[in-house]
Amino acid sequence: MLLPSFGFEPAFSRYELTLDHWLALGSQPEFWSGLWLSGSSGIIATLLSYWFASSLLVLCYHRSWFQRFQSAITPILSIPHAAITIGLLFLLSPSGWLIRFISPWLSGWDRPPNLLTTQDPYGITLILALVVKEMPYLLFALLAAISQLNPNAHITTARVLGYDRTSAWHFVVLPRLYELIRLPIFIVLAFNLTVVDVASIIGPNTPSTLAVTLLRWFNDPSLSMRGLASAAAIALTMVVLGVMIGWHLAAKTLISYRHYEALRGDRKTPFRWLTTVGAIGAACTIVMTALTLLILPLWAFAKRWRFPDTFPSTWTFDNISRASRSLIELSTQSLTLAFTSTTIALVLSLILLEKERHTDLSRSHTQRLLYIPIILPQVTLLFGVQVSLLWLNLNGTWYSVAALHTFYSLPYVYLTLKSPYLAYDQAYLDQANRLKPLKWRNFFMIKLAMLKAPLFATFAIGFSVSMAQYLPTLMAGEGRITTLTTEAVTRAASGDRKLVSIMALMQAIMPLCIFALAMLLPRYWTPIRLTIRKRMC
Amino acid sequence: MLALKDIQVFNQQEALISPFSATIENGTILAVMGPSGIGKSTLLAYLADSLPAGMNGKGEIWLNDKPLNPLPAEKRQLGLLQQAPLLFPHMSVEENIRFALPSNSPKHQRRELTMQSLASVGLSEHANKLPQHLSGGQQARLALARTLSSQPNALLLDEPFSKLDQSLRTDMRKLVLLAVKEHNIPAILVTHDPEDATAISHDTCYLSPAP
Amino acid sequence: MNIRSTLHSACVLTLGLSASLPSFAIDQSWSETVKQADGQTVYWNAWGGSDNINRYIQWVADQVEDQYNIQLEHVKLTDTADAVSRVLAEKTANKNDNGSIDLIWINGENFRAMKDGELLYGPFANDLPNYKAYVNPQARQSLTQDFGTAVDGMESPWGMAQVIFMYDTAELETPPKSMAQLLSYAKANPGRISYPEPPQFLGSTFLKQALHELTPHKAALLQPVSNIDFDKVTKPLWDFLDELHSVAWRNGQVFPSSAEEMIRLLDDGEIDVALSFDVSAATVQIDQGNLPDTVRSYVFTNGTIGNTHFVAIPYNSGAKAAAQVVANYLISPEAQVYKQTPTVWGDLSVLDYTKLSSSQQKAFDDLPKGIATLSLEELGTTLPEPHSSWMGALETEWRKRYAN
Repeated sequence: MLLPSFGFEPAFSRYELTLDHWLALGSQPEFWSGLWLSGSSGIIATLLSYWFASSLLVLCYHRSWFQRFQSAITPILSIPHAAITIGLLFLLSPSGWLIRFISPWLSGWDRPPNLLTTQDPYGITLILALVVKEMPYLLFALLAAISQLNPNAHITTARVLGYDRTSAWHFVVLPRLYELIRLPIFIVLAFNLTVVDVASIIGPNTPSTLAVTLLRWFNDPSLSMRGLASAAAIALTMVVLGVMIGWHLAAKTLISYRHYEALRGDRKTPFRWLTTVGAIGAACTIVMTALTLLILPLWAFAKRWRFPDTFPSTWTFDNISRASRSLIELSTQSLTLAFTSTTIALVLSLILLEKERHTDLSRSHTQRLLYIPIILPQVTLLFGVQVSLLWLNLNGTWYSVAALHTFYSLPYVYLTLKSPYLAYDQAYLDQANRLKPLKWRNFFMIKLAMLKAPLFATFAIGFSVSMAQYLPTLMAGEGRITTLTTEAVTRAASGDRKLVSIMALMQAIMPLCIFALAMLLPRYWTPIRLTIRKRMC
Repeated sequence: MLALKDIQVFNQQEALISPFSATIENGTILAVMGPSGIGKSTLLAYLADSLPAGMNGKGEIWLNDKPLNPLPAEKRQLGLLQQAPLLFPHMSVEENIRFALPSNSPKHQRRELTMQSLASVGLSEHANKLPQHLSGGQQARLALARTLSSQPNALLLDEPFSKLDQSLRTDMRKLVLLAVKEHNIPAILVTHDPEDATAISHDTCYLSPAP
Repeated sequence: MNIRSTLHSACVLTLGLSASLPSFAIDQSWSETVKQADGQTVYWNAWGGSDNINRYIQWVADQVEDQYNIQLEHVKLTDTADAVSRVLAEKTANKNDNGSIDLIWINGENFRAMKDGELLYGPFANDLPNYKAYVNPQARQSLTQDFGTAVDGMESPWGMAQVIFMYDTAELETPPKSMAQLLSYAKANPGRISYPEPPQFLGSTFLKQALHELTPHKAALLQPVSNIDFDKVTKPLWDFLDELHSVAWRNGQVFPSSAEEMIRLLDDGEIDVALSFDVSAATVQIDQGNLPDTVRSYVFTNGTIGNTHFVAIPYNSGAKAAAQVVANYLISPEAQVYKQTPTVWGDLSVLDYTKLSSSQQKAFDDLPKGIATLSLEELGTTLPEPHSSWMGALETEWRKRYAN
């Protein structure tokens, strides 16, 4: 990836190194404006996501309904972001649902207003879409981290010392919590700065974000643009690294300032009102997500739905039957890819974890390697991958797509499985081995069987990661392998809202089903197995 | 003076203990005993307004003739010392104390007050360490010093000695008793160890389960 | 659905026989080609943004599978340039056979790029039996000159397109029928006029249409851009766009990304005039409930830009025989009449009416006319496409001016 940006392209018989591409890049106005847009939207979206998620946690963690709320939002994580973004587009656009709700009785609009709500040049809706996608993820990460911290006891301690609840969170829990979720935040940051699908659906396009622009350059027929795209991809990676460093320093400064606040003796942090506003933001985000998921089925079954009707005037199943053929094809493709890649990722994770259980040394190394796919920008990494695939003559095959899906779901599968797997009490297995020296059988029938709940949950996560893959499918599949996601994203902004909704809906439903199964199966597995056994005897 | 009237605690709707009343004079310790699981800790949590979700309680709490019930935890000015020292791991020993000092303590005295407090529990030379690098006994003493630094009007002690070994336990008991006398505040000590009660309490009462 | 399947069987009945008519004239090499094609898989890279076109391609796939045992896979593109760059990449990576693409739906700039880059197989088109039987290359200039580039049999015609405009008769009495009227309409109704964002194909076509109407140097458009004074010729266009954008939809800060989005915007009442390269777009969309049935098509008084679109075969295709058979099938009267059916696609036939047998002519005559589809006469004058080098030049300049 680095070499082509300096003009070194063995694939195209160019061997001299030049700075031409970099100079050309610097003189491209679309580069600078795209860079600015990527940077600002990526940073702001990450800030808002963390702010909203942590505020919600601070204000609601102690409430009795929070536990139920937590299990209610978990499935949202499994919905591919393209589906949510498409719903958001249909919600927020000037002819979207929100404006339909208030038109014409309140707004006086009997035609959509000429407002820049979606695809606005400042990327505000893009930021919104990223927040809708990342806020639940960060909340989930926060919840996972907080279970290690025993927050209630520390909050009580601080409160008894005279600090109100919110300030106690800020002074005592959040500083440590932040340390634990730094990695997820960096993942979100890298994602937000380099995302292609969300930005191309809902982001501005005159100019687009840098990631979208450079993808366009890369696909341009003339060779010179490819070098330009490589240079831009490198630039984007450096920007991501720079932003991470900047973020880290800024966070350090803020944390030390808060630490200083904490020790001054004042019982109330000035950050308190921020928390209130942030929680309101989080509530709005969640409402928006819900509306987003509601609007997809509405469009899917609508025949006529003109502005400013709040609901479709006529309904039909035609949309589905018209799309059924391609839907079946695309769903089959998505499902087989997801099942294959997740299964492989799960097996690899088991091998890695089993090794890790014995050696402490490998721990940090494996982990660091595994983070590469989730930290490095997909666009950059995948250009390199595509060039290599072309060399190896493996481009456009189902296997390379499946391999890339595995590559991208592996880190999530590994990280999810890690703590429950390592926490497993090995004594059970040892005991089984003493009773019956069948090592492999015991491994499956005892250890894995006891771990089936985390295994199923991990599978569901890997599945949803694979379902959501847009760029890897596009790059390795070269358009020959199309999934629900690639098809939905390609058509989102332009295509027929009804068909796009159907695809987005399917895309959302499949991981949800897998998630539901992953929750239910382990619970009923043993009772069902015993019932069957009883019937057989 | 701390006065409790008809205190009861509930898990969901189910009452755990029969109504409990007591009056504790300044400078004295009341030991509350009962079998484990009866709701001793819950009782203290109710007094401190830090009941976990699903638990609740009723009954009047009066501190120096003022009702505490309407106040949230942070306004009650109670000191709570639990089994686990619950020191903040991201703050140094000295910072843990400084965090607890009341907001009205003059700025220029804060350092001095912190050092005095550390000296009173013999931790002066550990001021800049992180609490997790202290021994168990040191951690317990730091937790006590921190609680006292906040200048509470009453002390709630939730089995604070149970995790210490015999010799440390004796030391801690002495420190606590001394502190209660010195600050002239009432204290409730919840425990299932009769030795605690005999060693430092001025009065002992037994909780009985709800009928 | 019902109408379509009846139609389909009607087509097969009337044309099925005649489709095999020219078979006696087929020379040895063509039957050889058909034999080779048996069992091959053709990856057809074709723009996939329109559902009715996708369904038509699927129909073609079913036909060639039944008749020739060819597996036709539609690789849906968002931009044909993607396919061009892929072949180019394969060539530079020395992947000279079994390339990933066997057939491309192509014309204009992309065709020129591939032809100049020697990325195409051929000439093959003029030898296709159906081409010899039914196509009259002299009927239209665009059959031999694709955006000013000589076709030379390197691509086989597939259909003809012309820019049409659409408006809702319930909202608008007389639609603007020239660029000048469009601008004054936009000034009177700010925010109701837009066009797709270049380099989207239709957007670039809008630029060419506007340039054609506005520039006094019309002859220059038929020459390569490098030969003329670009700034002088295009100045009226940019002046026009500067004025238009200030009163355009979203103040010219955002543009629709495709013809489909324009139709959606027209349906939502966000814009008042939509354009399409698909003469039956309005009828099809009304049928699917995407437009109100008061929408009608029209063209500009002085004509609109039209062109022919083709299919071509990359030099490194691994299924050249099957690709030729597909290209040949595409210009069979059977496939062309089905394609021109308004509810199927409505794309204009490239066949010469006079070369058809009377039953084939009747099949075309019997095609139902959609309520919002213009007849050939109504479509009026077809303006020629400027030289293919104009497209890139206009797109680059447009993005430089308006996309950052």
